Amino acid sequence: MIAFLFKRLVWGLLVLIAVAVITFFLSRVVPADPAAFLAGQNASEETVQRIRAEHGLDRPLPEQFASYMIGLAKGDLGQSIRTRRSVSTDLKQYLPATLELLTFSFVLYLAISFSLAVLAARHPGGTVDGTIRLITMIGTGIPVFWLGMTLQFFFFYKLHWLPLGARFPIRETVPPVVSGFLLIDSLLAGSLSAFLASLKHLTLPAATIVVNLLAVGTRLSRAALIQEQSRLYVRTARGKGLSPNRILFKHILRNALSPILTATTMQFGYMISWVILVEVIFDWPGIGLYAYQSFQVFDYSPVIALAIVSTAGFVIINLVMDLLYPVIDPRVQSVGS
Amino acid sequence: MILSVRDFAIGFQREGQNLVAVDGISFDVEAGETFVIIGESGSGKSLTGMSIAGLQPPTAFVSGSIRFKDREMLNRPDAELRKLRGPEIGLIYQDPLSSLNPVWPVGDQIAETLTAHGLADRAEANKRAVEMLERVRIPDPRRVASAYPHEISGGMRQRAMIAMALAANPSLLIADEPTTALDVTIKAQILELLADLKRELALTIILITHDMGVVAEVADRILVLYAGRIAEIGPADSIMLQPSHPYTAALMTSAMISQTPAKQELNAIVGGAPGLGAFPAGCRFHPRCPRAQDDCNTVEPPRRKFGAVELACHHPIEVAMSLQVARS
Repeated sequence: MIAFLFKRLVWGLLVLIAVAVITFFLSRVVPADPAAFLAGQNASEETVQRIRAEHGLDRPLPEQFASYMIGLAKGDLGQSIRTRRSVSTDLKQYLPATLELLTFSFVLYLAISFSLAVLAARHPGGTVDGTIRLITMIGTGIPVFWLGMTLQFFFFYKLHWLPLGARFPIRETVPPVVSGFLLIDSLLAGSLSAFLASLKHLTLPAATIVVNLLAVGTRLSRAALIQEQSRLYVRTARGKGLSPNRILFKHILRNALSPILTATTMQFGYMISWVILVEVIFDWPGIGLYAYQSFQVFDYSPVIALAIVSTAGFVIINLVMDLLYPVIDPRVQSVGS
Repeated sequence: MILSVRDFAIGFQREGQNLVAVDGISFDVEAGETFVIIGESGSGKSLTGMSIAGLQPPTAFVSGSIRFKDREMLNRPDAELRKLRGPEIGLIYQDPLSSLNPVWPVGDQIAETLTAHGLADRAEANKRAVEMLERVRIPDPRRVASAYPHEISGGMRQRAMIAMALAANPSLLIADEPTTALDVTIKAQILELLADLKRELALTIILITHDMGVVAEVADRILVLYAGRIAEIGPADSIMLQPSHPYTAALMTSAMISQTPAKQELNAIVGGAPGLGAFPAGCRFHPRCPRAQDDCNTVEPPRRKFGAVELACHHPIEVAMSLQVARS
């Protein structure tokens, strides 16, 4: 078990290093000069030179690379040219917002796709199954940016039900930071209105992400459920006189969990990639928006940091899922033991 | 009489055609007997057995009547049938590994038979599960109760299945090919266990099999099913020792020969059993029957009494001849 964990962690680390190296060189390949960008159009050549020297951009590429990697080894993700702060400080500020959006969307996605799959699997090929398939397919077919803006148009502009963007109303006091998740912090502060406000702000961005992933998620869960329904232990359960609901929830679901878990891991990867776009659409102050704004001024360090952080997130989720398999299915001996 | 089946038929609709799998069979099962239904795959024996418990495929159409303890089982709402499965009728199957839920401990699955019917609370049911495992002669019932199906042997799994089927104390056990997936010694043990349990618990057993060896061990009465029709029905001794129907005789002969040590010649019945929707006219066995004559091709043999048995054959084997056929 410990050997397995160690091996997986070493692998994860190698993946992270590879991602850092690749994004470092990719960002330098872009024919742009962040110093000139930062100095502005009317800046003199000396100013540009000075900024360039200040950020070490005048040194040869291998040297820049070496110093970046050494910094990385010490946990230093570099300086942001745009915010003039260390990237780590910026991440501390922006990461909780992204994590909250991701977690909320993920839970919503699991709940909805699972419920729809259960409904669809009751009568495969029936009306309910067909309707669910059609609706989720349309949801996936709609481009994320269009869906986000359409939701904004209806729920903000037309109906005035939900806010246009951001995480919290500007005029209200943000609850004191404990977990970094506004939903939790507002409850800890005992403020129901703050909780509802942050829930309202979460709704549209989360909906945009979830709708996009629903078709694949529902289809995969539905397939897993239908496959389990034809297993012989289901006949045994019926032979014991169990009700269809009991058979579904006590016997089939537990067995269908493993394939659903595999699908969910992959879906989580897509979720991370959609979060960046959704944060930009909804002005959500997370690392996606941060990286997007940094990229616009060719501020390299935050972009590389985003790649590393999101990869780390994916690696961790994969590891957690791998550890969950033996818990769900006793036939799967934990890979290491 | 615990079970009475009258003109029972079951079939499926495929491409607008009605394919009849079991075509109007009638038989009674007496309380306390071991009633064996024997036939090749496709004879309709499992469909018949499952229909008794109301577990026929939902797409099948049925007709006739199956009365269990004076209750009509056919076309009874599933909610009512469910109350009978477990407390009145227990079922075991061919493949105990796939038939057990792989992610549940064995004991929990046995206990569920009781808790789902509200017959015991959780703690009581768990206790009963261990008792049942002991009852089916599992040496270390406590350990097996907490084991997962893949952690115990094939024979133990089938014992656990039996424990699960009998946990709620049913009066009828339907055993669908219970020993087919097991090796010879385990098979003998399971059959012995079933015979013991039948005595101890005053069970009625309906055993469905294609294996003549199984029949010889346990049967009180035998029903020979061929292509959805009854070929022969009667006391086990008469049928085993003096098969009158050519099909039964052929089954007996092939069973005997396969049990002789030198298997030089496999005396299989010529041809294969007809598939669903391809049943021949007249006597359904006639294309493979060594005794077939012209009338067999066209006229369906009616069921009639013949000595100690009832059979459906135009030209049954006389007693003296049957011995000869069996020896040939």
